[in-house]
Amino acid sequence: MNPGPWWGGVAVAAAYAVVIGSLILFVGLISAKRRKLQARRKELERSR
Amino acid sequence: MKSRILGISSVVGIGVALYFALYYAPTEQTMGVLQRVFYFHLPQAILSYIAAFLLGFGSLMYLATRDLKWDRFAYCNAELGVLFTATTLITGMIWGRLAWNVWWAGDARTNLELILGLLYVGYLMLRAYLPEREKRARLSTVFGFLAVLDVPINYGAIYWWETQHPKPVLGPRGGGADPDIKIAIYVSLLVFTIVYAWLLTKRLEVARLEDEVGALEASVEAS
Repeated sequence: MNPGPWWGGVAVAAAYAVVIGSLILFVGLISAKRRKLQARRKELERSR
Repeated sequence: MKSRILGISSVVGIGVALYFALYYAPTEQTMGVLQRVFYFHLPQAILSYIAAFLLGFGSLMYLATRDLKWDRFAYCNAELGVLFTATTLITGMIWGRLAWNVWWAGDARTNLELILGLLYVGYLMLRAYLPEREKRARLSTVFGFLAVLDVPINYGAIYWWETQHPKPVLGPRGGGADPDIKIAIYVSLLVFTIVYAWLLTKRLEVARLEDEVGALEASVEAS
């Protein structure tokens, strides 16, 4: 079924936003985790 | 350095993939503009399979060598498996809602993709419940191998059972897609493979850091 250019365009925009948004979210979560772990490592190295 | 190069390539590559998907590829006659969802959906699906193979490979290598670097490799791929399975399912649902008038067709291909996603989640949940590092690595390999088993069944589902999912347009059994459509698909596949490699590299760096912090915590507690 061809939903037409309007709804087709909305679907494409939504699908691409989901993919790119998920990638950005994943990178953001990894970076936040990395900063937290680096801070914890420094703290542990000082207390050794 | 490797992560930085992959990161820059990923960001530039996504721009290139968007250009090929939105401007370069012609509008398909039957589905119209909606078919362009496919340029992002297909690479996500293929990478969700690759994540399973890499997870299985990491699990196998861990059992063979007992080196924790392979366990890290396995679970980083499981996390990426969750990500890529989720994006596959969501983009597929968006497409299915307009193409078939249902969010979830419930056919073998879509159900097996959901099962693959649940196997990745099961793998990570099992790990979360096992505090002992070696035991966690050893027992979770079971889910890793189950994920690998799902992939060929998932791939073959559209041939073995009646499904609404379209047949492949690439490969020896593929249909006759326009050459420009095929080029756009290959570009998108290449770009998302680079993105996958970048995310895996970044995640592995954090996984190494997690183990370092774990070891430091153990040594501080012991002293």
